[in-house]
Amino acid sequence: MSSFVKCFDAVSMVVEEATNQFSPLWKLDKEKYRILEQYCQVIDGLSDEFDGISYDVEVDDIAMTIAVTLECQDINIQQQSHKYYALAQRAITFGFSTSEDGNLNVKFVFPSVWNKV
Amino acid sequence: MSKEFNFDEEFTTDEEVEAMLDTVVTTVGNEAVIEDNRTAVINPYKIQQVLYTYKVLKYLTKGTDAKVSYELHSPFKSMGSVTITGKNLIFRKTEWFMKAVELSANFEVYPKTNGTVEMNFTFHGLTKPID
Repeated sequence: MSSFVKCFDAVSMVVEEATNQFSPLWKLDKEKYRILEQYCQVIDGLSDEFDGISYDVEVDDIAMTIAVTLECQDINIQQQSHKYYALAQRAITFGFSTSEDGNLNVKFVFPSVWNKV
Repeated sequence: MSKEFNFDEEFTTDEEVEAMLDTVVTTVGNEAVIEDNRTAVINPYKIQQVLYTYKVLKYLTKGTDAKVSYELHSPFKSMGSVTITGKNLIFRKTEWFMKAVELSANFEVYPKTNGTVEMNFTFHGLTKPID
């Protein structure tokens, strides 16, 4: 999957749409957006490692947080230092659920990338 | 060594696959039994780590449908685990969760057929052999 679909491709489309929706009261913070792009690169790495199937991105209209969900078969980590843990520590919340197809949804909710004008 | 283990020879029948699997499983089982038969003492620090993980995960999932359980000395006496099962597992206090992960030897999450997700933290070294 990750060879042709990148996490940031999905995120940037949703963020662009949300930026238009939040404008003119809110403006995209380029630095925060750059950090979000780095998080996406880590999620691409997780997708490679755990055979990712799809991405889902949502913006909360009220809290303006960004939720990125990676669908994969399962997660198994046998080391105490791993990119998943590093990423989870930077998220507001993280979690797991079952997808409609019976796979594992790995969800990260990241802080807003918009500032008030 | 390669001749002894014969890596070049391939399976030709289902029976060969079954026979070798039986041998492998029996050997691993015997080794585990030998390890379990050795005299050992409880490692209180490791038990405390399992207890911390169990309690912190119970605390983090309080008020949700998640079920947290633990097992000590299973499947072997030096092993233990903490398990969480729930439909939608969400964590906020990430630093506490990460400490639990650091203490465990293995962390896995997988979907179950009943629509829930199961998360396991596995611990080694609950006992220390003394002979």
